Amino acid sequence: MDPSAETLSFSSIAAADIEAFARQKEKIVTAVTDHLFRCDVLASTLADTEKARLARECVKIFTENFLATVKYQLPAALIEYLDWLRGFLRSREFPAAFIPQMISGMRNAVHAFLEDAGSDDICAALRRLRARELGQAREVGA
Amino acid sequence: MIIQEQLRLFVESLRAGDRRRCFMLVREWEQQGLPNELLYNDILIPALVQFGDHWEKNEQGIVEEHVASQVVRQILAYKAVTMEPEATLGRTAMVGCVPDEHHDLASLFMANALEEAGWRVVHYGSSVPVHDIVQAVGHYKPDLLCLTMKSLSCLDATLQLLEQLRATHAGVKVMIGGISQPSMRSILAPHVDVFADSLTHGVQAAGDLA
Repeated sequence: MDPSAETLSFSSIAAADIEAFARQKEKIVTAVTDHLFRCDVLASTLADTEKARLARECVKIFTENFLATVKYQLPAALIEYLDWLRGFLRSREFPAAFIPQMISGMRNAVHAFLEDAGSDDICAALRRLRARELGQAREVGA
Repeated sequence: MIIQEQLRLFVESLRAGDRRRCFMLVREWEQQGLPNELLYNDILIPALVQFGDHWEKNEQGIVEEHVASQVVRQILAYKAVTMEPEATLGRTAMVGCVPDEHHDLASLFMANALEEAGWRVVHYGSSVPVHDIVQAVGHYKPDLLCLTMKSLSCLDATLQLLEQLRATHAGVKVMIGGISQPSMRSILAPHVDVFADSLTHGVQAAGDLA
């Protein structure tokens, strides 16, 4: 197993924060999708209708999977999913920045919509996930 | 003909979208005495895996993958109609997907394989909510509930189902196939009697549970 899968932990995220995330899920999906479509680095990719459709689906599924894996403390399962998604998107010529940007968008959305519930621990987990994704993107680029 | 050659021929016919040729091959191998277990494990399932891999790598479109799934679905339906189980166990298995799971081919394979092993099978497929599965367990009174699961996002509803089942029908054995992640298995383990690692293992494990 990837060592970073072992170090990623969701144990500090409170049940109330997870419930708040679940309540705001639809808003988060919309905000993350908007974030991706505003990214300059993704503009030419998402100008393609089919790739735009895939991007929307990715955000929905990633959000569902993030919620399930945080709720049941399954970081390794989320890492496994992201590893699969990276290969899937690469073969469809998505830029390596897509997943890190999707995670950034989610971090922004969580910060915006979960302010009262306390979003810091979810944002910290997303920051670690993003760092891992950036590392993976660098490896591919190397 | 060796099995690898049979697999190659079947995949080639699927790639061409030639379902008649696929059906003819299956009939031909049936007449030659190819056991269903080999047909499922060494031809149909590996062929589907190949199509899934090619779709994942963008080497073929989603329509080709759906064509392959539909052909296999028809073959399994044919086998379900024509198969003659060797013996009857006098046990009932209810087979289908966990709630929110839409990938139901694995459950079709399992339904056929259990029926061939002598189980009375009730197959409900996919897209059935928690409440209705629990109610159906009360209606059909199965000895075994055999569930298939592929998507992470089904975990929540699956746990709800299992908790309700244990509260209302504690005697029903539960088997789940399709989950390889140890951490996911550990979440479900308190409610599950056995995790099936493969079709063959699932049939054997079901027999042991009975």
